[in-house]
Amino acid sequence: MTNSQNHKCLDRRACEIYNHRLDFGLGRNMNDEKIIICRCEDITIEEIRAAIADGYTDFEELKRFLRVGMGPCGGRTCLPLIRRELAIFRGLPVDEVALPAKRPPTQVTTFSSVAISSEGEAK
Amino acid sequence: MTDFPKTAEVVIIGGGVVGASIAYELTKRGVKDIVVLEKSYISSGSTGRCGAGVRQQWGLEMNCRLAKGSVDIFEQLTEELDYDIEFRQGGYLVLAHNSTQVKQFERNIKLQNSVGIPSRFVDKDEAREICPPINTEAFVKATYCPTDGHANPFKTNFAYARAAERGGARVYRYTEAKDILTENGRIVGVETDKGRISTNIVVNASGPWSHEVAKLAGIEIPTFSERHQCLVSEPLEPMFETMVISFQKGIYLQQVPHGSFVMGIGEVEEPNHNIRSTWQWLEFFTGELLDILPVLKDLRIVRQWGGSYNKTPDAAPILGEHEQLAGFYNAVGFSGHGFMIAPMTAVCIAQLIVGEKPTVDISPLSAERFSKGELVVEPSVVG
Repeated sequence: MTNSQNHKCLDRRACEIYNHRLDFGLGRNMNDEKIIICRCEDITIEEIRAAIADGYTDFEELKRFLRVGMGPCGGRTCLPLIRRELAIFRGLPVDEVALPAKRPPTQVTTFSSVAISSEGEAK
Repeated sequence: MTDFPKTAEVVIIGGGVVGASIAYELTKRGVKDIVVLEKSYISSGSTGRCGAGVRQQWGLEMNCRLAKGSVDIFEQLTEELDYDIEFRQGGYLVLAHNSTQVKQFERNIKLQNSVGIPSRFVDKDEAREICPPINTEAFVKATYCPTDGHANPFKTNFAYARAAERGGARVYRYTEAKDILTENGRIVGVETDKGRISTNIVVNASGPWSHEVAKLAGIEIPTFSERHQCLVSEPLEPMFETMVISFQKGIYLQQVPHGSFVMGIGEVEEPNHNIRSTWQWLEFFTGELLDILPVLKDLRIVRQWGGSYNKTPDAAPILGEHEQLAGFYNAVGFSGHGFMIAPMTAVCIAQLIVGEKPTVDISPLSAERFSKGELVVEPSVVG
């Protein structure tokens, strides 16, 4: 069962405008279903656009709905690309679309390295 | 927005799982003219930050009934809302570390069984069958309930919000309640940053902000928010399905269907709205985790975050219409367990609003219990 279908868009008019923008100029490609945007979670540009058009129009909601940016890379690859999509959707310059909250650690870390570090401090 | 509503039958403040599920249950009971005000995005508060567990092993009968009723709803919610909420019943293993806890758990199990919750004691061998890598030195006995489990909080929240919209409710994101208007001890409207809505019924479902929202209506409720942190690991092949928790350590951990482990632990905190992550917490958590599951030492941490428990002095929620303000309903103060009991809570609040008898008697959870000294202390709180 896919959750991205048969549901009323939370902001229908904005979604129609977005589809219009994609259809005229800002580009759909023949192989959108093969273009992976989030490599940690295997999410394509087609899935991202479908989710936005379906009403997941807030960066934080998209993240929670598709898990984009939640993988081990911390969103380094996908977040700027998704930001561009949201900029198209909102008709804003890219830098006016806020990125989701940054979460520690900046790089994946094992529990044992945390444990070793805290032992070191205790001594 | 030109079509912002000027009137509504019910205004719900908060678009998290509590507000969205109440909106949905109201539409099911014929109330269509509902406005949900969410000051940020859907699941921006406690719902979107919660540990996602669904537990029925409680020490108070009312909590057992709310939790059991919620599991019954969760079991068919994907179908009912036409949206996969990823509910899975992998069970909950609750660790007892000493004989006092074993005695408390004996009482809990008797109570849980009496309302139809299939929990039972398991010895160390059976605990190891349920969770093979567990360190059996870290506890003396455990209880297990196979129908406890896990659901995706974001998707449950979205599913309820969308189902409510299909039923006629209007959900406004980035729209904040600024004032709650009253006249002669009853609700007459809500002032928002997009305009004024006339209404006779307001539901406070604002999670971390419940105290502030009640204050808009001139009502003091003894809720406060407390930071709780958790983290998620890289995904692994499935190792075990159960949630493992310990009330003594305040720890909970589970491998979710995605393969990653979601885990957290409670810390003593001053009441406030700070939900930033700390390195100190990570060190504290790591020590406690490796005591229970040393096998996870080489697991990689992907992301750490914080959220609020909106707490009450007795760790039980405040539910129902306020005695001093007609039309003002609270569904707040869930003390870290709002997600798991939201489905049945929503049914009961919706029933109260439309004048039906609630499925679970929630009258002991009134806001007035604190001034009357009738606290309902829940002994089994975690995280």
